[in-house]
Amino acid sequence: MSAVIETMTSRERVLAALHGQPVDRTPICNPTSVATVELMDLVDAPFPDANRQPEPMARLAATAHTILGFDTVMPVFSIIQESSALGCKMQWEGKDNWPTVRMSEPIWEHGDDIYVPNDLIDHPDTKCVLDAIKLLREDLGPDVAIIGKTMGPWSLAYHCFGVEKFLLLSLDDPDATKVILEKLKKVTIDFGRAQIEAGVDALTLPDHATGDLVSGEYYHRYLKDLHIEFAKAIPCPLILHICGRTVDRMGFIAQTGMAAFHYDSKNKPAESMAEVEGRIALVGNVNNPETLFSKTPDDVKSEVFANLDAGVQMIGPECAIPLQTSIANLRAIPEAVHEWHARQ
Amino acid sequence: MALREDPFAGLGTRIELVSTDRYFRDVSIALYVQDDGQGGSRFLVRSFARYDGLDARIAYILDAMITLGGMQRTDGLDAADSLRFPCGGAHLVAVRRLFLQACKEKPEAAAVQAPLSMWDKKSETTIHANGLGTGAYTLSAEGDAGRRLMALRNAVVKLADATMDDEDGTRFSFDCGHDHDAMIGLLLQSAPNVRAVMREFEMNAAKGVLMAPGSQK
Repeated sequence: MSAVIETMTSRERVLAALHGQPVDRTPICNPTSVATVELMDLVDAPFPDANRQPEPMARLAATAHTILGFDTVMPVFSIIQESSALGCKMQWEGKDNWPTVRMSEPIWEHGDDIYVPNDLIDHPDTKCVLDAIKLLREDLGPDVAIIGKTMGPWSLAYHCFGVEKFLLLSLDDPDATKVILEKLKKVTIDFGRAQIEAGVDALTLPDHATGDLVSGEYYHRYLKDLHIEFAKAIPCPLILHICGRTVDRMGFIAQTGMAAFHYDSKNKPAESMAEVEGRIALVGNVNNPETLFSKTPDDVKSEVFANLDAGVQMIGPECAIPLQTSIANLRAIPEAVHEWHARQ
Repeated sequence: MALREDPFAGLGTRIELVSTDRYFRDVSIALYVQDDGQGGSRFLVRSFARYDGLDARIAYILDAMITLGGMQRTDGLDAADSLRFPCGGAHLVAVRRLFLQACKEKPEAAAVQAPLSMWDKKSETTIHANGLGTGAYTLSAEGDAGRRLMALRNAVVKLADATMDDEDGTRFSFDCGHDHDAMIGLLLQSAPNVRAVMREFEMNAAKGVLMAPGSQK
């Protein structure tokens, strides 16, 4: 087995893959968090500080490249920065748990209640993301890809209206639902554009129309056009993230103009590649709660190989990894990519 | 941000993690297992934080594992912070429980080895673990424990990953063929609450997993 001769920087490799261009080897990407409690200790950047202060946020994010060997870094570990800026009630938690929005105490009841402040990106919990991105670019230079994150309106609506209430509204009153999504899209666009100005190369756009709660038809009805709009309005490659079984909507997602889809292990790599037919790149799929968290590096490698064999364009975990994940299992991802290419 | 040396190199396999140590600045502390090069296993306790006083905290945990579980320090490299069982075996289930218990011990006082007996509230009698030699044990009761002995035997077997005797509902043994009195004493105390112990493992595993908003409360 011989080592792959790399002719591209990490950033060039990731951007090429996102633009559908040839790469020297498959990029290793984390569109969502790869933070762990051990990495937090190593660089003295524990949660919740690393979710609220730019310096620890940047230090922790950098470990994806410096310690784990990924081609990307991603400082927005959580999914709640914008929701905090919108006024949602927050539970920031401690080092070993994720911050959450108290969705049982929603801040809005009707579409008319929605208020998106003009200075949303100046809120401490959004500004720290922008400052962290600048720090990362300064520290890592031009050769590492920085991925930001801007939440989609469906996810924001869950946070601001409550999951159950918003889902019931989507059944009972499609027009009112669309009004809400239309109003919230400003958050997605504004925060995304601000991160581009701060220096990101690409943005993850989580919009949790997840397979367990929402059908493919729902995606088509409520989100496809909005996502097309985002792809045009936010001038950088977008990586859509939706958890769960999503093969039933991948055909629609492939038509949005987004650069990549960050997909869940509930979808098989080969069937997913067949569904998108090369119209959008795929990334992700390595299972978190079972494989990365509790199995062995060899099990992780098997899943990476399955993705590479299927032609998946970028390799990474399916979603934000559990905070207790072992470093050995995370490092098995880049190791597997290098091994696979060396065999070709 | 780049580090000169790889702090994660050569540690072996991580088998347990305390993600926030309640007694030392919420640092994470992990237990790693590796081959000892002689057909056995040795264990490392590691934290990657860099606070003053952390070495003393790790030393306390190692000492507690020695006292509570009958482990011993290894010879050679890393001898200061690596442990082994006298038998050289891995005993992976038991050592995880031992490590978690060592991290829970109050650091104001040295850990104390658990006796080979315990008061069982359910049967209202004292239960003893009696060594039979070559890694075999039997449970006995001072009073009438009835079927409770077998239940407790099964719990110890589960916690120690030992082998139960099919012929005798009170007996079990370690495949390594060596006695582990300290470890059995520790696990015997947990046996009446085996479900809670296993639930603790599961809750540890579930913590830190990010759920999609639709699955959150």
